[in-house]
Order: sequence, then structure tokens, then C-alpha cells
Amino acid sequence: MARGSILARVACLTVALQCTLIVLPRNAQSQTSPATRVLGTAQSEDEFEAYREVLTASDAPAVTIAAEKFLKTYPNSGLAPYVHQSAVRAYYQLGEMAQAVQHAEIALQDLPGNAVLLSLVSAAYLEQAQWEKAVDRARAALIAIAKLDPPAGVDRAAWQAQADALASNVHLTLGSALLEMSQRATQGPASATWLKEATSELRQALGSNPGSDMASFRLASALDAAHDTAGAIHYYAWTSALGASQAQVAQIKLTELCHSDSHLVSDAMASARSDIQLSTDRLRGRK
Amino acid sequence: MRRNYLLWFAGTVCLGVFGAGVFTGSEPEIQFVDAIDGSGIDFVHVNGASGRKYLVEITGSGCGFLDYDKDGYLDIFLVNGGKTPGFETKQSLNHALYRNNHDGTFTDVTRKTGILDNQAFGMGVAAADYDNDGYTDLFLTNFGGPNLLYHNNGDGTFTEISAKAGVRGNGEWSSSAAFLDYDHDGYLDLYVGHYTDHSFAHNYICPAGNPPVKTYCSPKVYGGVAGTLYHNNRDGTFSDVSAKAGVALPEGKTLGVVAGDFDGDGWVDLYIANDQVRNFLFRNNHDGTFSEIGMAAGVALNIDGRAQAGMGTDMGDYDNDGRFDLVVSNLDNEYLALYRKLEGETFEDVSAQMGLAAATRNFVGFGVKFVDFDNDGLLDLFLANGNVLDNPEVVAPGRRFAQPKLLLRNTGRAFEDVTTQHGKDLLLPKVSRGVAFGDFDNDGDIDMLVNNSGDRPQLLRNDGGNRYNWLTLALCGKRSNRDGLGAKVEVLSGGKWRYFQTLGGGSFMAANDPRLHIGLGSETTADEIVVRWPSGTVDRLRHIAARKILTINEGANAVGKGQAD
Repeated sequence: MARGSILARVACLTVALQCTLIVLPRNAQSQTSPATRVLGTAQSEDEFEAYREVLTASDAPAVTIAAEKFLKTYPNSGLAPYVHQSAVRAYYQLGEMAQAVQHAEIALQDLPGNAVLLSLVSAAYLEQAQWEKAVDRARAALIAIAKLDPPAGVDRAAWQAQADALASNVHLTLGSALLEMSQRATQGPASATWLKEATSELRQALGSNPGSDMASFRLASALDAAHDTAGAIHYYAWTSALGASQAQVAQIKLTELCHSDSHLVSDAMASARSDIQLSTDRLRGRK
Repeated sequence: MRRNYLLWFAGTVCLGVFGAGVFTGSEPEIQFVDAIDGSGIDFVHVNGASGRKYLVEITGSGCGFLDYDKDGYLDIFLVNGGKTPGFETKQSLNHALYRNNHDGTFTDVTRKTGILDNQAFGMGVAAADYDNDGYTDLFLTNFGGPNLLYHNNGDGTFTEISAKAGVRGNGEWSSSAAFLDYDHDGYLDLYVGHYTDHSFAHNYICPAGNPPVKTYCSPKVYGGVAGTLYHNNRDGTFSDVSAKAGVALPEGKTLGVVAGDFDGDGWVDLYIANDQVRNFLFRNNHDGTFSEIGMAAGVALNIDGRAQAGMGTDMGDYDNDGRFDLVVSNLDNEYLALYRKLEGETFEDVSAQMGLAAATRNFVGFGVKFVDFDNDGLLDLFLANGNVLDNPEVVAPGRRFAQPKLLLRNTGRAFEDVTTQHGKDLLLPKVSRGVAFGDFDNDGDIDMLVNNSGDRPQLLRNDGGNRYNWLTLALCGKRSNRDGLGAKVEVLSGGKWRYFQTLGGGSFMAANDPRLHIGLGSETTADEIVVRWPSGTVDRLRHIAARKILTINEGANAVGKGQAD
């Protein structure tokens, strides 16, 4: 998997959504003793400062160091799930998926409906080729995103744009995992269903982010697998037109398909460019 | 209008009808003007903001209108906050009692009257004549110290008797309190709401933002505390009957309390606004016990089935259908909840359809009351606001700690935000908490006293609200409690009946004018006034001219027990 494209974007978006507010789960229970752990809270100034160090660490390696130190010093902290979440993002950026998944699963025990965590861990599972787990977490992430409420006073349009971007990434993860599952499955109804679902998810991912070459490339692959040659040509051309990391491979695939299906590459490219512009304008108008 | 002061005589015995106003017809548009400058009120609230974000710092405090010296004019009590660990100030931490000089000015009589130095963190105030001696007593709720009961000695002084009376509490964080006669024995009992189990020793730090900064924690992180119901033993002492009466629900995180008869059975009930926990409606079972029916009645949660951050509350018949409705102020991103009373024991949340959800969504509401500010005969709503975070921009860019107030006019079909039309002083951003409502200048319209956190209070004088006609009724119980709390008053004017109650509590940690204020619109008389006292006595008065303050003595115009018609 091309980690740089999907994961970096997920990590970047989640910083914005995670850190504006630690939202207590609805079932956060109050306690009667000051020593009792309450989610989202520190019990001492030192604990708060250690948490601050995690969140203000200069880069991903520094975050992992500060996070591991915090978790060792304050294993029962009410902030531990959020420190785990920071560690997930950092390990993710460093490509250490096993560590990212481990921290994410611990954090999810306390924050089972956390959209950011779910989106991160689904992408990490995708990187680890654990497709079923990636699908499971991604679906949970989409449910969690649908339940998000903007905090009072924020620019709702900007907030919604962030939530949409997060959802777009989750659709991409989900579509990618389903595509992988369909390609690895023996021929049969399950494979066809996964492929259909993958196509739908990838269309949603691209619909809300027309500039995602990973979404367009995978959508092209899914349509190719479904023998929708016209569709595959269109989205390979789309990927090529974006000129990002998948462009070269897409161009090769585009040329092959056009050759075998008597299409002109130049026509496909012109059509794709037009659609990219239309989709981008439409999205801009909506925002 | 200050120039047309009316006299309200009420000596050691309750007297009859006095006063006459002059309606010139040339009054200006209604304006609420902050009359604090030059009033002699130099109180500044201390919120103890230490940087350590103790929850108590952003909670208080309340204030009250009360006539402690029986001169017919409302005096002012302002509750101060206090110190927190790490907080230092040279400001006075003491509460303040100001005597009304009848000319728009007040005199600080705190020390002279025997009000003690504040040894705790002050929260709220309730005022009533608990011993039926004809003088209004004071009850102060506290955090970090016992609650205090000041007995009015009748000579312009008070004596603090909480220990002897048995109402100090057990160290709970007390918030709003309300006097009520729940057992119809003619003596006022006392309900005290408690907030959370937060203390200086039991404090959490809640980070927000990136880089993270400290913010005040949600009450969700703390435990609830059951409220306390004290039965008046009629000998100067009270007994804690909370458990026996069925009101000791430990999950309560109470900030607002109103005592009134919601179901029209003649017995006073209790409505409790809880923060992030379902609200309670304690229905009086007429046998010294209550049943909590908030969920079944539809007043426990919002329209989405979620507990809101209940702060202040009030009861009133906003739609003049003879049924008493409830209002609860809440956080921003929630809304001012208006529960319209239906048949039986149920309510419906009409906040959205009445325009309140949209009008209040961006405000963190505290003091709230049904109040007919323009005397048009329809109860409007006033809401004082102020964030619970002193750094809300960390959580939501654009949000501010201080917020303007909201005046929501009842048009008969919806509530309309008319704040901008009624005075720039309403629009000044403040961190407002307790609001007391009352006619401090006896000119026939309702004024507001607002206690602002860490700031000077506002005395929002209503200028021009008396363009329409009005009546102010001071009830004086004989067989019923002296203050007539729990009495229901029906007023016929212009062919329409309207319905009122004398309530305990209401608003937020506040003591309100005990008199009933009735807007009559353009009607020059009330054709009939029926008072149904808690004792069962019914008084009926006919053809009462408008624009006066009228004292109604229980039994003086009796038409029978239980039935007026």
C-alpha cells in the first residue's frame, strides 16, 4: 500500500479533529475519589504537563518518546487514551504499523466510538494487509463520523469540510480493503459483492476529494476488475491527469486499455480533466 | 420609570390597597438601563479564578430582591464567591446587603444588619419568612462551608442561626434553594439543591486544544449529590426529611430549583434543573412524600432524549391556558428548553416551535424567568448568559466568555428576540449568573438585578415597561404561610382569565420579588381576582383598579374554602 498518500492525510486531518476538544464519552462516569481515573482529566499539574509534552512534541519520533514516557509514568491516567491516540498517529507516520495498531486498540477500549481513532486504525490495518479488520474499523468510523456534532461556535462549514475529508479517507480505506478482499477471494458471490461495495466506497471517496489520485486509481482498478472498461479508462485517465504518485502506473494502464478497447488516450485525458474540473467546482460551490 | 414611585405600605400587619400611578401615555419605548452607577452599590463579585480551574470558580453567584425592613421597597442582597487555593485578592470577599433608599439609591447595611464575613464560597440566596413573624429571613447556600440561615430580628438586624436551626448541611456543594410549604402546615419548609462532589481536594484538570491548555471540567467528571429537603418543625428548627420524602436522588447535579404546583392539585411540587443529568420533577403525593416523574412527564431530557446542562429554571403560564409551563436554561449548542404543560402530568418540549431553540443556541444561559416586561399580559422570557469556560475559544473559535443577555418577547405565537430594541446595557457582554427579578422602584414594571462573575452587578431598571397597565399583588397568609408561597391567583380582565402562582426559588440561585406582578395591557381594571391559598381558603376581589400595589390578606375577602365560584 502506498502509505504516504492515504495515511499522511488521515494523520494530518485527525490532528485538527482530535485536539480541539477532548469529548467525554456520553457514559463517562463521575467518581467519588480523587484517585479515581476519569476520562479526559488529569489529576495533577505534573500529569497535565506530561500530557502537554506529548501534544507539543516537535516530530513523530519525539511524540512516541513522550507518549511512552507518559504511559509508563501515568498508566491509569484519564488522559492515557488520548496519549495512545497521539502515539497511533506518530507511529503511523513512522510506518510502524504494529505499534500504531497496538496503541489504537488500547485506546479504543476507552473510546470505542472515537471517529479519529477508528479511521487511523482502519488505515493501519489496511497497511498491514489485515483487510477484514480494516473493513470492520472503517465501517465503525463512518458510523462515528455520522454522529459527530460540531462544537458550539465553530465555523460549521469549515468543521463540516474537515469531517467530510475524514470521511473521504475512511471511504478510501474501506474501498481499498474491500477491493483487496475481492481480488483475493475465489470467484463467487462474496467477491462480487465486495467488488461492488468497493466501487461504491471509492466513488464516495473521490466524490468528496476529486484530487485524491489514490481514490481515482483504486476506483479505476475496481472498475477494471468489474470489466467496466470505459469506467476504468476514465479513472486511470483521471489519475494520470492529477499527475501525482500513481500517475505513471495509471498512464500505463490507460494506454493498455485504450489500445485494447480502441479508445484514444487523448480523448480519455480530455474527458477526465473536464470531469476533475467539474467535480472540483461543484465541491467548491457546495462548501 | 423612577419618577412615579408608588408607596407600598406593609407594616407589621398586612394592610390593604394603596398606591396610584399616573400613566401619561408619553413614556418612551421600553429600555432596560443599568442603574448601578450612582446607586451606591459598590459590590464586586470575586470568582476566585486561580488558574487551577476549580469548577466552583465559574458557577456563582446569585443575588436577591427582598424587603428586609418592611418599608415596602425591595432591598438587594448580592452573594459573593470567595477564595480558592492559589487565589489572592485585595477585594472584599463578603456578601452585601443594600437597603433601598426609595430614590434609586441604596445604602450598604451589610455590617449594620449583622451579615457575617464570608468564610466560604458563596453560591445562592433564598428569602422568606420561615417563622411567620412577619419579617423576611435569609438563607445562603455555600461551597466549602456550611449554609447559613439569617433570622430577621425585626429591628433591622439578622442573627445567623443555621446550627441551631439544623440547616447547615453536611459539607455538600449547595446551589439553589427554595422555600415551600410542602405539607400545608402553614410553615415554610426548605429545599436545598446540591451540585457535584467537586471540592478543592477533589479536582480534576481537563485539557483542551493543541497545545493543550487547562479548561474547567464538565460536571460529568464529578459525582452527583442528593438534594436536601428540610421540614420546618415550627419551633425554629428544621429536620432533614429528604430520604423519607423521596427526594434524595444521589445522581442529582442541581443548579436550579423552582417550587410550584405544576399539576393544579393545590400542592406544591418541585422541579429541579440538573447539569448533564436528567432533570427531576418531584410530584407532591400529599402525604409528606414526593414521586420523581420527570421522565414520564417529559421534562427530564431534551427533545432528542438527552440530558442537557440545566442551570436556571422557572415556572409560569406563558400561553395563558391555566396550565403552568417550565423553562430551563442550558449550555450553548443546547437550547433554552420550554416545556409546555399538557393535560394530566405531561409536558411537551416546544422550544423549537416557539423560536427559543434557534434564539438561544449560541448562549450559555443561567438566570432565567418568565416575566411580563412590557405588561401586555403575556409572559416573556429573560435570560442572562455567560460561558462556563473562561477560554472557550480553545474549544470553539469565535466563542467568548462574556455574552449579552437575551430578552425574548412573547408574541402569542412564538418568542421573539427583541434584545437589541430594549437597551444597550442588555447587549454588554458579561459573565452573568444569578438574576433576581422584581420591581425595586415600585413603578409597575419588572426590573432585574444581575450578579456577574468576577465583575460588578447590573441593576437593569425597566424604563417604560409601565406604559401598559399593571397590578402588583402582595399576598399575606394567615392560616397559610405568611408569604403566601404556593398560593394560586386567577385574574379576570378584558374577559380573559390568567393564572399565576407564588413560587419558591426560580431563576438561578436567586431570591425574587415575592409579589406577583400582573400585566393588564390596556385594561384599566381587573374585573375579578381569585386567590386560592395553600390552606384552602379562597379570597375573591372584584373590580380592582389597575396601576397599584395591592396587599391581599388571607381570608379578608373569603368566599369559601376550596371553591371561588
